[in-house]
Amino acid sequence: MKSKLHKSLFYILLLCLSITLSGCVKKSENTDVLDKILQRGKIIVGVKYDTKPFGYIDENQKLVGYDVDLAKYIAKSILGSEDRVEFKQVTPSNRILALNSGQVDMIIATMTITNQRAEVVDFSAPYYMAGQAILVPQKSDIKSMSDLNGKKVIIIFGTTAEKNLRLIAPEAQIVGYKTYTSGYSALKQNRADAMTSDDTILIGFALQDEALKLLSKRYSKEPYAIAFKKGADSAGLRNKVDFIIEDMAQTGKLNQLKAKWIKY
Amino acid sequence: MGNIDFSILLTWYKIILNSINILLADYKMILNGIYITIFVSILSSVFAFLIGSVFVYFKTSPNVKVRKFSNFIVDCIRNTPLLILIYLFYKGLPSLNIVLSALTCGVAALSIYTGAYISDAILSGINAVPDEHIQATNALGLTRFQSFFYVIYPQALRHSIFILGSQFMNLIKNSSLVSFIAVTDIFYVVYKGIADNFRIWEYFILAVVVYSVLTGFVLLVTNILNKIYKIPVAEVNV
Amino acid sequence: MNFDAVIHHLPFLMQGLMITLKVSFISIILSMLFGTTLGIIRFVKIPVLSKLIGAFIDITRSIPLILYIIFIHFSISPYLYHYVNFLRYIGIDCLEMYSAIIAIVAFTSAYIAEIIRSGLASVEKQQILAAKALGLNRFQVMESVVLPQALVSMKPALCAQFITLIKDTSLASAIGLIELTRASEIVYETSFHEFQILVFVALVYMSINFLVQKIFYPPKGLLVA
Repeated sequence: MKSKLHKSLFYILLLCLSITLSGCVKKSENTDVLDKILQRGKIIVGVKYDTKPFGYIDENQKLVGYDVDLAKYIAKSILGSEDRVEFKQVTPSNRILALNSGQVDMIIATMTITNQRAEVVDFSAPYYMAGQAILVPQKSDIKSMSDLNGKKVIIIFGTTAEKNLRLIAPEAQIVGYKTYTSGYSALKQNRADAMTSDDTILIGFALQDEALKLLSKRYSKEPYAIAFKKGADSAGLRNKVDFIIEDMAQTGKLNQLKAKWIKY
Repeated sequence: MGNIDFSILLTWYKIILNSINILLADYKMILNGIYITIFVSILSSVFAFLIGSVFVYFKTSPNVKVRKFSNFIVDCIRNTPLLILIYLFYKGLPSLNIVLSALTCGVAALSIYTGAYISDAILSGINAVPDEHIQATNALGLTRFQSFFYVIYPQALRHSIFILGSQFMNLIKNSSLVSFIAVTDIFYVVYKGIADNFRIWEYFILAVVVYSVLTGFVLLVTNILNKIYKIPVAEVNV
Repeated sequence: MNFDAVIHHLPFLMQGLMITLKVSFISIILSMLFGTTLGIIRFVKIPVLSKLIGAFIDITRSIPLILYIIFIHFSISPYLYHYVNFLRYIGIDCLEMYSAIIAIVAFTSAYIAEIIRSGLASVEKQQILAAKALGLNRFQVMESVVLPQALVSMKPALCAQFITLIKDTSLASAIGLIELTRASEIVYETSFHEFQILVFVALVYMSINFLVQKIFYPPKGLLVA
């Protein structure tokens, strides 16, 4: 019996040791993202499919939006043609995962730069400045974020809206949904008193629905940036994209895009 | 040999301490989540038991049409995913202008779904009740409801304790689906932790521990009740 | 109560249904393979392996499947995505489908292992002793005596498990796989006929599962004896 016990302990020890040591060996393949893009001839970008006006499907079942146009412009600058880009749908919950698994080369999906995210992805220069805002029904008497104490507020998992909410209105009851549209339909059904997120996303809902209004105050500065896989692999791509964005800012292309998509 | 980098062995201790600190920072939400899970499970199991008993009463009716119809209804409920049932209550009913709170929708959908399974569990118990008891109730002149409620049903429960216990374990596991409609149970907290803070292993192990403890507790109670209440079946040794 | 919204979006919902059927089919085959292997290992009681597999089965049977799906999607599948290219030929073409199949297969194999083990154990010992007394060797005993009886006793549990698997593919909507549940979500979030669409989706799942039940228990008179 003693030797059987020793035998099983030895096997378990061997298992643990092998798992540990397998984490120690470094990879040695060429995984530079820019090289892969040039080889493939196409750049794969993760964008949102349900967020007006940054990435959404219009009445003709086509994917359009500010982020979509930005991706096409970058593809034209790197690969020479606006058609050399393939889009994949991402949501706030899975966009970082899609990036780190190599499913997409970069994400342009209304992603705010935060320190916590900078630990897991690399950001480009910001291409848009949004602010956090609150969406309420027309008849509501909520005037500012401090009125949200004791009320139910909708946020979306994976976004930055909760931190400010907890600072300014610590007594608010926070209800979380996985997608913007399910949060929006919950607000319409009066399951909560308000929804808070970036103003650019909420204005899309407020414009198409007269029963909701967007409060005018903005509670934070949310710089949107393009996200890349963390590490030296995307350094080449990141430098190129930073250069393109600065060029767009100086030649006024960014303002053109803003005027086209953000009409308020 | 030049590839091996031993620093990962040195950081394990720090990683484990870090994980425990992260979980402790959120302990209020986690405790609230566990409380909501237990609350939803207990409430749903009470209703599921009642619904299951009503279903099984109709399933054992002497009228063939009633039997077939209730069998069909129970099969329909068993064959739809629980998520669709929850969405029917939460997202479908508002189309008909009936808006129920998230907790009500979750408990209602869970109760109906588990009630269908419990009706089959109790049915297996009823089949284990010896025929002589039913014939005796007929001889005594009891009505159908009286014979069911006073004679058959208690014995069926005692025969089917084990399988009822496993249905309650399934209920606890299925209660994680109410997090989809924004009820802050433990799975909601775990998903939030993973999506917002990118802490996968900590929250996963937390969820495994919580669910194992809850289901293990139900298993323990089932075994104790089984020992106390099970009707011993005469063993035949050839 | 009109079902116009359903008819208008039917192609998209059918795409989702195809994904559901694909995931279910692949998961059933793979989980039967793994589950039978695990069940036989548990039954035969190999020294260390049976205990480890027993621990895995016990833990898997006490946690909900959605937890497995989320965990595998966020932690393991990113590293396996590099190998997924050769699986495109079978038709697995996105990361979510990959994680969903791995999670569902791992989860269901544990249940099938238990079903197989209890099915094999339910054959009475006298049958095996009698077969050995008649001079059959180990493989003949397994093939002609144990398996037929075990399969009959496993049939209801296996049917229930397959139906549960098909229903649990709806949980993959949480990670973004565009199967029937998620497709219907996308449809009714923009067209606002939730009730009709959800009733239609429930009917579709019901019909698939009734079909599976009919395959396992054909109505009398269909099988010519």
